Amino acid sequence: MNCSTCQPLLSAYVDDAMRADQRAAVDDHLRACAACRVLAQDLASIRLAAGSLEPLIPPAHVWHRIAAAAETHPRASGFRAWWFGWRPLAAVAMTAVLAAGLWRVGTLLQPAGDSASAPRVAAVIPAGESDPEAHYTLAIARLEEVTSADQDLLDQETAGAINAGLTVIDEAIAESRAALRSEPQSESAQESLFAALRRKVAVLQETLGLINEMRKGNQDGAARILSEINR
Amino acid sequence: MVASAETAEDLLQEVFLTAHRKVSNFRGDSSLGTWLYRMAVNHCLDYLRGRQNKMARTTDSIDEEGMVEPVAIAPLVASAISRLDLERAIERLPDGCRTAFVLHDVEGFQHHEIATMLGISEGTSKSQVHKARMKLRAILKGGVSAPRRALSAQAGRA
Repeated sequence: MNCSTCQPLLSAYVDDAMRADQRAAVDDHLRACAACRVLAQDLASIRLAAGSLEPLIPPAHVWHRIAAAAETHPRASGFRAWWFGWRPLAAVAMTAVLAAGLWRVGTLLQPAGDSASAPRVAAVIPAGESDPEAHYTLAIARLEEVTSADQDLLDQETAGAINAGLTVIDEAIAESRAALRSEPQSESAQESLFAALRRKVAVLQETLGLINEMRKGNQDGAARILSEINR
Repeated sequence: MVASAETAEDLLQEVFLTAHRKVSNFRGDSSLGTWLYRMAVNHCLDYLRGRQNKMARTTDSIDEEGMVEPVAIAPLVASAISRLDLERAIERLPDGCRTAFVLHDVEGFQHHEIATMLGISEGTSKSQVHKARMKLRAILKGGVSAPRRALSAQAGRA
């Protein structure tokens, strides 16, 4: 074996995906050839580094945009019912899309708190609610209490994706609150805070729906419990 | 997989809206997660196929990737490859081999699974992953100048 016959085999070699006799021949060549030995080490390092890449979490403004697009979608009238019934699906979709590698590359994402470009999402504050932030905060506390008790029902990957998403939202909330402290009259900072809080409520509800689906394997039951919490 | 944050955001939105439209077609013959996963991957692939001409050109160029220079410089160490460097290098890969590389080395799919997803042979999947790794090595070891050297060398041969 020489360098030109050895090198095309080195990916299979580092993947440990070749016949024993081929492997032995490559091993023989590598013992004698420093250049191919370094190449094999390089390919193994690239494979290891690529396999260690963390999933990228979409920034908060992307979720806001999707929510806004869904609201204006041709089937918008049915979207709420669909979204509501399929909240567990939304959480699975988030994991699936992340795992599909959409976010692995092209990582120069905008900061999570880039709320200036985030479209408005539909308000979910009950009519007559005088303190929306208190309303959201209460809803979040209630949801966190319920979801944290049962989160171990989720598989590690799903829980990781959801928690990473919540971390991004928490950062957006913190940034919005900081902006409001320095500019208490800023409407955009206020709206940004509400949007992030709404997003957190929605993600927690999705999480709860998923937990429930996991527990019961029952889509209708998940939707019913969600509606009770939402009331 | 698509090498652009903006494109990925657009595709994510399309996946959600397509799931909304097509959820009534879900027959339950696979898990919901698998159905969505496949939809997301297919969206990426459709997008990439739209750039097929460009892909064919760039893939041709790496088909002629020459042997490595016989210089025993220090090997790459996985822990010393920064995430940012690696992701930027992946962005620079031609579409065809980037897709196979991301699915295999980043996502952990087997070659036979990638072959089915991409409609290619298992051997092509293997060779695309190998080409991607070779290309990444050139980028990571040579900085910005290495791939240009490789391309100009190919242009010289053509």
